[in-house]
Amino acid sequence: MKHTLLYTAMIIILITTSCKKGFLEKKPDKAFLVPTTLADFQAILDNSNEVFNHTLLLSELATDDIYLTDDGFTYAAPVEQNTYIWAKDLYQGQSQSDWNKPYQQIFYANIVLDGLASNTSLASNSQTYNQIKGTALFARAFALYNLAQQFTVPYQKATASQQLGLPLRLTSDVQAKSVRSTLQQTYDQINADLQSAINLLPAQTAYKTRPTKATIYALLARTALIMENYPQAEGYASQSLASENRLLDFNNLNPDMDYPVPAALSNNNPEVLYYAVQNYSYTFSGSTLTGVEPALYNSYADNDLRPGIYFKSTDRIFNFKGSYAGTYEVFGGIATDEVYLILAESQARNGKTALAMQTLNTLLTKRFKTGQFQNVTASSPEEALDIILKERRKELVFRNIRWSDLRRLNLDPRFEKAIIHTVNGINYTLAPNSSKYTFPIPNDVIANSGITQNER
Amino acid sequence: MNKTIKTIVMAALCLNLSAYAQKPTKPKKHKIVKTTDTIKVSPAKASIIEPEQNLKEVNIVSTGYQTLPKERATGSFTQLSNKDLNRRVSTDILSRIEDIVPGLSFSKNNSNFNFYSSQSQLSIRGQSTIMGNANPLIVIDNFPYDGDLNNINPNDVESITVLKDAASASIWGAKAANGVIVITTKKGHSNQAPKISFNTNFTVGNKPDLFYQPQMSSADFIDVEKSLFKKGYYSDTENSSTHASLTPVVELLIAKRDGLLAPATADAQIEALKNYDTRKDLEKYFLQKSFSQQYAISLTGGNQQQNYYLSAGLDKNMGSIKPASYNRITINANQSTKLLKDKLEFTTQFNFIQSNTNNAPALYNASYNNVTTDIYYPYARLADDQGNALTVIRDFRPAFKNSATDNGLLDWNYKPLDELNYANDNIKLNQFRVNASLSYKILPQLTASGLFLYDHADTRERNNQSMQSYFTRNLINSYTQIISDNSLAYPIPLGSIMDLKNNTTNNISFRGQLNYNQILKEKHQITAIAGYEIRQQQSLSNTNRNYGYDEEHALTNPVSYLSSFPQYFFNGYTAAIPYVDTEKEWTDRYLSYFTNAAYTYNNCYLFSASARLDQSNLFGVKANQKGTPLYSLGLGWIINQESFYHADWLPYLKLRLTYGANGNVYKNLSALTNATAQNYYYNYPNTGLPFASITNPPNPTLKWERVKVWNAGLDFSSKNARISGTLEFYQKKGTDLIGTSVIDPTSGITTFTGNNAATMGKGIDLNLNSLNTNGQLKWATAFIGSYSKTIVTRYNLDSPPYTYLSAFGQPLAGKPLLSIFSNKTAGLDPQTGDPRGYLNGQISKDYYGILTSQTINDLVYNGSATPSFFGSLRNTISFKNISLSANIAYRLGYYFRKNTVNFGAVAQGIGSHGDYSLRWQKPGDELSTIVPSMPATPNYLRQNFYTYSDVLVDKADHIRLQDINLAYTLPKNIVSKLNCTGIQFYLYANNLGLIWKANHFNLDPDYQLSGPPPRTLSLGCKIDL
Repeated sequence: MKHTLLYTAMIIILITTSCKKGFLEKKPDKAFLVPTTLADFQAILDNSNEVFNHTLLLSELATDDIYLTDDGFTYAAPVEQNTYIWAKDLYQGQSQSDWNKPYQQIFYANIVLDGLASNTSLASNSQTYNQIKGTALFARAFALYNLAQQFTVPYQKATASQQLGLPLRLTSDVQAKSVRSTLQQTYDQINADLQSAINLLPAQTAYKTRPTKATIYALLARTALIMENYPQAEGYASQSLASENRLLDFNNLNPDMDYPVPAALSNNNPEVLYYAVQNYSYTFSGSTLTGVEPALYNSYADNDLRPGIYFKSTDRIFNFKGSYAGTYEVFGGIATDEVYLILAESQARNGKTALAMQTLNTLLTKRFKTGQFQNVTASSPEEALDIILKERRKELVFRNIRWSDLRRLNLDPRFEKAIIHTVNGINYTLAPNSSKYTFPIPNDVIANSGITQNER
Repeated sequence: MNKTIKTIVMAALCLNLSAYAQKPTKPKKHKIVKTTDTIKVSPAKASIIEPEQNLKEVNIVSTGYQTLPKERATGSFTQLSNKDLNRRVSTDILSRIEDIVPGLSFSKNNSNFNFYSSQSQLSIRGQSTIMGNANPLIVIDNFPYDGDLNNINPNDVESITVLKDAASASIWGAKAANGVIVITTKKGHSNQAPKISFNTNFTVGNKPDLFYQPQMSSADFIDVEKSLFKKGYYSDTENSSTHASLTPVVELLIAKRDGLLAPATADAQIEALKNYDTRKDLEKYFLQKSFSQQYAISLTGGNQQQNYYLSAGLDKNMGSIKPASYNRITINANQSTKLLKDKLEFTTQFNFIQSNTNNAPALYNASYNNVTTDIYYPYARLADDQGNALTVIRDFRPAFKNSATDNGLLDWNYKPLDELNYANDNIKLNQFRVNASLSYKILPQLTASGLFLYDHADTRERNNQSMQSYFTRNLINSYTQIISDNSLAYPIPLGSIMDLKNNTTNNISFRGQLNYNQILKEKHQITAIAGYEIRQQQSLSNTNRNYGYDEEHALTNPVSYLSSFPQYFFNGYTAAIPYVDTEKEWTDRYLSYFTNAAYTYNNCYLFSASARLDQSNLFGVKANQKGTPLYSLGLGWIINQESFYHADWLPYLKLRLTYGANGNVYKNLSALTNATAQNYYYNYPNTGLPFASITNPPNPTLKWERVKVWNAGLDFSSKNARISGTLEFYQKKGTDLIGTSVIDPTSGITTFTGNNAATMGKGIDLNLNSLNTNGQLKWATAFIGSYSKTIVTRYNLDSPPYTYLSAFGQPLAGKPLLSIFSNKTAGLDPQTGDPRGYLNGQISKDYYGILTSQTINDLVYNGSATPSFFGSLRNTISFKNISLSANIAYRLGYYFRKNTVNFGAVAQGIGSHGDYSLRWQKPGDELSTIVPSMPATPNYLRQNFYTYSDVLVDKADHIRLQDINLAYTLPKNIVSKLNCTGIQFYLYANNLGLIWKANHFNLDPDYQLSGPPPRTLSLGCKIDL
């Protein structure tokens, strides 16, 4: 009997120990993925559906490009109505994806950057590794750039070190406290991330959702323009165009189509450097009651192909249909036409009148009916700048660019402009350099982080 | 022979399980063969002490590991006998334990909270987890059961034991924090003549009440549509190139505006529509009285060596929504054999279940406007006066739909009534369970046992959406392409669309256990068990869709998922063909070691202790955090056994005290950054690249939840058990609970989940039974009274006050887990009818100011949203062969928030709650209504202020007459003439209704959305041969 007991104990021990090893290592859910490999990090950065490749939208509604009919105003959500009339409180306490989405992009980018740093076994100099790292750095810079245009005051070199910038989140630790940096630090971070990314990225990618060298230079040029550093802007824009300078010829497009611009994601639009669409969580952008400002529409020349490509007429207004995404999504990414305009503008500002007009004409020949275009000329840098800025507005309508242009141009008394939106017969005015040019930070962010609210 | 089986079972099991492991260490086979010679296995069901020796009335509780006489237990058990369970009539087993277990409460269809997806249907002594699985552990015949409880036929259940404290439940370790319900199925008994039992019953239920929650009337809805039309609200949709549908009234208004219809005709038609209410048609054509039939037959018997139990059951239920139905067949075959001079006992249980469910089309839901998006205007007519199906407008405008049909597309009209004929959504389930055990008495006081379970369930849903169904026609039409010569191409092929959903679960469990039981010198009694358990629960599921399915020949057609197609209704919109195929595999693994010992001195002093180590495959967690050790200690004192005790009027008196820890595991989190791999999202312009979403930020401190439980109990019984009962006090302290907090969105996430919460639960359970009269007329009363309160003691992040208001509210430290807060109001503005609140002590309409500057103290704390006091009072009167029993249930000490009108929805022409008609319309109305005026422009802040205002919260306390059971047992002489041993007829009425309620809204607080569950009436008969 004693033996019986002993054997019983032994078999139990044997079975328990033999079954144990590895038994508890099984993943509960097969779909669980702990990102460790380059393919995992690439998959995170390829989340263009829910996270990346989206820009902000609300500020578009505050520009002088947009026109809402009275019906369209009624149809819009309260936050959209408030933005359109530059109300003091915009959000009515609601959380805003215009803030949450870019910071989600930064979080995802930081997960990738932290993951690359901590998984030392990864081949750290391979082309794939570099491209992933460069893409994450670009994504962080792009998100910060977009946020800065809406939630910080316009950049002015003299005061940027005293003014509030954005919270800079550089690790994936979600428990880290948010602190607002200075405006200078915010732009320094954007530039630093872009500079680090330049040499990591390839010249071409198979997918427009991934950035290239030309994308980085284009965003550096955009940032330099915002920071009023025109020599740098000119340099970066030239470098971007040196890498990719193709333009669509609007003569080849069919204005009768619902979306005349070829689809970007099927690589049919060579102008698109980086695919991004505007935040779609608001209703006004798809509404047939939202149109382009009539004066802007009327400013296109008769033989200009753009109004036919960009707009369609419903009974009362002109709706936008010229998205560079080539679909119902409204494009908010980066394209070569913008880079040409940055180059032209900075050339003009740097006193290179002839060169500036030459750059502009390269773009405009592709926008006018073949054989009916006459090269534009200017006799002075000032005249050139004036022409270029007008063309810039006409070319880049509904591209998430007008708002930042208004902010920076208003700083120059020559280009100051008061905007008026009329709703049900009441005129609302946005004065140049008004504090309303800085959006308030959403209430839930202030409540949960304790960071300082913008003055408005 | 038996040795061989043992060896095979052991070795196969071990190999089988280690095959799943990454680096299996293969057992050395020759050793197993050698050592298994001595394995002694006995079924866990074998009692460790012979209860018949000690107790006149056998009252055995089962923990799933062992059975013990209740008298000798230190823990908190509630034992439900077959008789208790058979009082109610139902298809399922769970509803039969409602209102008869102290501390056990069912959460009702309470619209207050939907944040807690894990909120369980029933809870034992409150909820001590916030995010984790809050369901009690269900154990069926020794092993945890994760399957569908509807698969258990109540006729096969012998008894149920509910384990409530640490000493009783901690043997179940990490899964026991929410309590344990141990279900023991019927078995044969030794030395019993064959006995056949037959039970059948029929139940009829009323139609559900579609009108319980008031909805905006058709007239009000149409008036709003008219005013929105005047404001141009619909012009966007009207001009939209997507041809999005407009309601009939808006179409009439357009026709009137454009001069296509004479104004008088249009107005008359609109007025006529005001008289229709879709719910009337839904009630007439889609609802029916439910009807359930239940048949159960069993055969049981046994001799000295072997006993058996065989049973078969058939349930046929016809639901209240056409054509919903549920049919179930259950078959059981259990046997137990004793061999080798009764030293070896071998039991097998085989259980087979087949069920067949037909789903009704989702036409109706109890949202504000009572109709789904399928029928989105309340005056839709489903049938004409002759009962012919009528078209209901949806998705696209009728003119567009007609032009499409002219172009050769399929008929695009939607007739809900016709859909009834095309519904073919069927779920078939096949489940079998094999439960086997071997036990061997090594020594008279020592038994070794091995138990094995294999449970396999297969659920197959086939939803065949035929080409006649609107779903299929709509999808085919949307993708139809017109080619240059006007011929049509069908990217989605003609034919039905067949959705298949399969789910397979496999549960393999093995337990090795030693039972020890010894009495020394008649005074010292020692019982002990020790063992280990290994368990794997695996679930595989997938969904597939077949397009262009040809029912006649069972053929499917391929489609091109990778291309995008311009949509027929708007060719600017391209979309890929919906790809819904999924594959999912989930594996839970547990490895546990347990021991449990009890010592009784002189039948008077009881001491018990248990310890258990549980380990699970928590993902990405370090090995030392994968497991958690849990323990319990218990003391008992049977006072009436003391020599000094002489109270003859109270012959039984016992005190108990226990302490211990139980656990809970939450597997959706990971210590590492966790992402989910996905395929591209079909209807979005995309790259087609695989992508990943981050589902969980890194959480290095993740661990198991722990609940520490104190329990003190007093059991007593007066002479002849005229009055008997149990009184218990408990305290449940939950630590390291998983909680979600709102977090600064700048972090990249908006909520964070981790071990950051703690709770404290306290309560009292009282169970009092009295035999008021005994004799010809027997009157017995059973009273159950429970007090339960769980307070959140720690919640790491403070959230803005407004988040505590909404239905997705946060737990708040110092308040019950589920609490109701509201805005303090100062009545309606007499001039405008705007709701008013307080800002800095002043009456204010600055809703933004109130929202942003309020602190938690500015909110009104109404109270708990779950009952603090609950229980039942059951009276049973029997006279001769007739017995009548009525159960009254009460739930007290909690609050609910009344649903109301959402003016934002009204302003979007969606419709809303019927409170709309009570809104403030002119000065003076503020004296008679609490509903504000309709604002000129939609205002979320104002709406939220009102929705969560204190005037909409009231006490939910109520008492309801739950059910009445009337039974008539045929007299013995008649029964024996019929060659039977017993015949009983019974009548049972359920859900009889409220007796009293505290709220002044005149609502059943537990069912304000859908109305109280329909009354049912059952008639049944039991025959024993």
